[in-house]
Amino acid sequence: MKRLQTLLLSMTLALAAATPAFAQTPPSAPPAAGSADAAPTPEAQVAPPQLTSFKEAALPPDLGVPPGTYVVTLVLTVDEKGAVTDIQTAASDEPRLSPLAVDAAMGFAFAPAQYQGQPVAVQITYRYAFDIRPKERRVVQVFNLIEKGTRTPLDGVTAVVEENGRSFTSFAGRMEVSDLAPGRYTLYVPTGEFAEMRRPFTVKEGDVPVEDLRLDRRFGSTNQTIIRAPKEARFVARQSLEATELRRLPGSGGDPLKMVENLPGVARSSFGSGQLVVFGSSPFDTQVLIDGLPFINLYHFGGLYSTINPEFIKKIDFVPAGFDASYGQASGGIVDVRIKDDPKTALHGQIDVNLLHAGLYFAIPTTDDGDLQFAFRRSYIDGILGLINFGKNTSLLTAPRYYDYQARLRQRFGKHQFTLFVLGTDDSLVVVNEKAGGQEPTFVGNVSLSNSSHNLQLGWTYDHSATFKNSLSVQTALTQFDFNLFNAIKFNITSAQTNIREAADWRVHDKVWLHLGLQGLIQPSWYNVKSPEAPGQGEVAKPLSSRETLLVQGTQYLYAVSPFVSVEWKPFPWWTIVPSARADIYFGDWKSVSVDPRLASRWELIQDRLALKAAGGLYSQPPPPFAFLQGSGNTGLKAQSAAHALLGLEATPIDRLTVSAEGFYKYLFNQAEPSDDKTVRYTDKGKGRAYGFDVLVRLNPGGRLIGWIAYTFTRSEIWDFKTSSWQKSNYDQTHLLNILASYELPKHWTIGARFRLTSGFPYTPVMGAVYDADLDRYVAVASKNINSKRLPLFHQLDVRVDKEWVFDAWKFGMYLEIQNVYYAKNSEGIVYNYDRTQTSYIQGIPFLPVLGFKGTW
Amino acid sequence: MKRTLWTASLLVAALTAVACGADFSPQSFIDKPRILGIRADPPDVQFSDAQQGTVVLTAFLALPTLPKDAPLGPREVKSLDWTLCVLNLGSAASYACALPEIPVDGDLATGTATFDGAVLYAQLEIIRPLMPKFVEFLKQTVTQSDACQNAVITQWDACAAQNGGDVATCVDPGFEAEKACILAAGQDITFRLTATWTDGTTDLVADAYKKVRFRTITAENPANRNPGFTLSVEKSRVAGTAPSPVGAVLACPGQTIDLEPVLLPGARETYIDAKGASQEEFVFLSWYTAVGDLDRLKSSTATVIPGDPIDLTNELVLPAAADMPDSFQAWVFVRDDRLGLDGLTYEVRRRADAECVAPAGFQGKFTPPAVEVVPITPVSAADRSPTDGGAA
Repeated sequence: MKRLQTLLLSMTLALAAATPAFAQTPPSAPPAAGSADAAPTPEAQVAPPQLTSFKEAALPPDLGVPPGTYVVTLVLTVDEKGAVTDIQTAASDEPRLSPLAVDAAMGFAFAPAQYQGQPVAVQITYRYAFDIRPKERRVVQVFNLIEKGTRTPLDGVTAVVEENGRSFTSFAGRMEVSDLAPGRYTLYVPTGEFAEMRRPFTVKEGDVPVEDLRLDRRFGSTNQTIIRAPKEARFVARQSLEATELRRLPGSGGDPLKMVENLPGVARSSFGSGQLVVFGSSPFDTQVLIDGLPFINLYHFGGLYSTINPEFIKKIDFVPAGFDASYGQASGGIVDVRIKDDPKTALHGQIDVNLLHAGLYFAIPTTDDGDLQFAFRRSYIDGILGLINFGKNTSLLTAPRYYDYQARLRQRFGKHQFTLFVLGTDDSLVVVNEKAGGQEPTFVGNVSLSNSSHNLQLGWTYDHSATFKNSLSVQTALTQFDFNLFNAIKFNITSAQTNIREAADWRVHDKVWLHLGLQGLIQPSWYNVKSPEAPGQGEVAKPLSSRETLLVQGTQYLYAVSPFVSVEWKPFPWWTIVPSARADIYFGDWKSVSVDPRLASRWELIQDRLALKAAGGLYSQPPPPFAFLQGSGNTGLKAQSAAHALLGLEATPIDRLTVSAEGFYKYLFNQAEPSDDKTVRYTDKGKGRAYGFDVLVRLNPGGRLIGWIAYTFTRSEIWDFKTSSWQKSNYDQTHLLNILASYELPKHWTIGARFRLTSGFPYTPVMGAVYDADLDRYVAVASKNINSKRLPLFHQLDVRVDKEWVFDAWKFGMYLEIQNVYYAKNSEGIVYNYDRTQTSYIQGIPFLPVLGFKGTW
Repeated sequence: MKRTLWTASLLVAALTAVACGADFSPQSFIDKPRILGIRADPPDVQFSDAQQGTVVLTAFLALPTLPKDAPLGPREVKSLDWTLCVLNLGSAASYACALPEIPVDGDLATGTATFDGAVLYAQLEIIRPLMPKFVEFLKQTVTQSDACQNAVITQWDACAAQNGGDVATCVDPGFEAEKACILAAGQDITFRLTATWTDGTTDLVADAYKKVRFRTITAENPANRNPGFTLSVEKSRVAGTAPSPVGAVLACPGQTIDLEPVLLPGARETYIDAKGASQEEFVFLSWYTAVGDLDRLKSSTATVIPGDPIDLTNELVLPAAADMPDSFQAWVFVRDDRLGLDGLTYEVRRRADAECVAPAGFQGKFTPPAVEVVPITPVSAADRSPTDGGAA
């Protein structure tokens, strides 16, 4: 008799379950730390418990269990000292063995799991395997167990030889069938994690055949287990969204980045705008990052589709407010797109085709611990729109066309990991109006948009030990933006931006982590702009011909150095306090120094079940670039600032279910806004405030049903100096309700739905119009009370159906997503007739089916 | 992403404006009493220390052609009130005047008002004691390209800073600099016309703003003139901005009238801009009708590629017989980009039904007679009174 032990361990967070990592005994090292970043994720920092003392189960001589392999699956709770404090039997192949396995496991000893160097309690799944056999074992048949579609070797799968009832379990993807007399047999895999299967085989004397046995996983989402790990006090309001989770949910067309707007605190953006309005802040105030470094072109055409192939995305960290000093230059929120870092062990690829574009992705291992991923995608909307007649005067010279590409090379050398990430995007559109016809007689010629960026991102991470790690990232990006509206408005902007980020995480004491970092920015921009001033908040549009057109041309140099420090102090196991501070020093053509102290804290009122969290501090960022352009802006503007205060509760009443509620208040000051004084054009006297609360009930990944219900109440206001009163800002959406759910059915069907109910956008009513006899245009007379009216309530239901066909070595998937199922006539804006005596609403999408196909191997 | 937000929203707005639109009556359709334009004669007024010219403003008003059973509503011009503003705050402030407006005498019968530049010259001195406030308003209205006014502001701010905020000593030099600017570079004076129509019980009021440039006119930089044009249909002249033989357009319901304007020689003038560069005026036409649908609201000299043929034409599609009156008015106005304006009106007559429909028992495809121009008494737009239902 030989006892085998298998430790099935996967490290995922309750809020961030990921693709599982199965490991054979001994337990593997914790997953590699994330990319270069000063904000490592919890699961990246949790080192699993190490089994230091194994106890064999005592088998009574009269056990009476026939020879075979049996598994008893246990859920062990390992406390901070490494002791096993609780054992639950999750499954057992042989009930007579279950108490023996429990008795044995009570005698296990572990080196405790570590989180940021501190021992923490975790739950793990442990499979205690018994191989009861005759004294001499003779292998007669070997099966290689492989998951259909993904070609992943399978461990811990038990099968039975039907003819004699003997069972066998796979290890390292290999199942050895032994001690059978020559003859014909059938191996039976019962229904469980995989679909049932029967495989006849023949045993011959002196022959040990090897065959592949491909098993069909019944539910993709069950391929996840959960270990509870402590939440980080540094980002008390953070929500992490797994890409696999997001791609199942409706409303995104399979694009995980577009799902961010369904989170609590994020306002609905108008159709096609892609604006991220977080806790009532301007989209300018929220920074989008890729692995901690700024990224400008997140979406094609401002909101159509994200510019990064979803296969690269591991998850999205979203922090609406109250983040620590490791994030900066944003006074609103943070969206940090985390790139997958798991090693690629075999050649994998994907072809993705939908109504908008087709894309190709492949990953290939290059060395033992290195790999290369590549993706390219191009739209073909131009081909479709090219068939549409836009009227006799208008034609599409270049229909909306986009492409993007990504290539990532990863190589690990022991404790060092190097990454090279190249990504780029290019959008283009040219519409020609061949002769005047509308209200503006000068609108003849082209409307064109060309927007491209090409980024190179180098990363180095050094995992010295559980108490020290370091990361260094350098990114250089060339972005070009050209826009032309009939030569009446023109933007030609080229920017070469280099960002450097150095961050170190150091455990200086049992209870203290120190996070130190330095960010640098070098950004020359070349611009040639012909445009009226950007409109102020609530400003009613005026005819272009009635407004002054500014001409500015030049080069703007902007440099920044930003040191930051964050101290994570855990005086008690149940209390973490994080004081932090950063300084942002800008020089070049705009000069500013801001120092932002911040404080965050988290109290575990009931360990792992109920926590109180609070955060606050100062947050600064540069004004919008056009506000301090030399020639049309004010280079004397101060940095835009905000003071955040956030208080919240987070509960996990049962596994996978989290309930959180947060109240927030933000006071905005030194805000750039258009000035009546045309000699400076912008002032930094603007101020505003946003406050409210949100509630999130979320069923996290790990089961067949996932989803969330998010409600946010927000008030976003600006101080109107003309009326000396608080008025609604452009970003005030008082009520936001998002309900999303996705359910996995058998046979690889998945269904999902999203329902949204939100307040309409505010707008400033028009009181009438006066006639400009020189322009032959009516100019609106706006109400003094800006944004005092609101568009009607928005509501929309989207549904999604996914079906996957799994073949031996690849999978074919199809999805149909129908947005606005019941054809709600939602309003996205308001339009007026020529003299502003009649109004009408601009309708959003009437009904949008999106069909997509995907082949993965 | 941040940088593109402003321009992306502009793009969306632009495409919305070009491609979409609610089902409103177009600006070209006259369904209520309207002010369609104000002509200034001349559009550039001599304004120097030595000489101040006079400007005559003429209002172009229009009334709808109503269905027979429709209530007439306010149609009679009750009053035309004229004022002028020396420092208008522009479209951003809905054309509010920074200084008290000055009334201008008008003539209701002819729809005109006359203003003597000498009055303005005398009023300039009023600005002197108001200079601190005037500079504040100037900062709200100065444009990036107005070097002279920007210099005045810079000089004022420097003086104020030099004197610790006490601007008393800055007033006289500031005023002299401002006056020099006005005389040399010119000052756009905004006239406001308030027209009131009445039916005896209900009044309808509309406001319109018209700028007139008062400046020192020189041989090197001569005065702008109002552009002129003629309108033809089927190669026959229908009307012109200068008094000329005119005709009425005779057409059947449902027919399309091809409107062919021709700019008069010299209508597109060449001038020297503020940077000293020679420029050719941009000219556009605004089209109006009381009945039917115009293909374009405006046509212009703008072309996709400079040098391409200019297309100023338009089409008027007449309604079906049930909706077409025996006669109705239509209007065309021409504007240049230097405040020049003129306009004309023409008449469309309905051809007799007997000519427009197939006779009883007619077999085959009936083709009504082609659109044609029939002669009528010559009347230029400018010669009409504001109460005769056409252009004043």
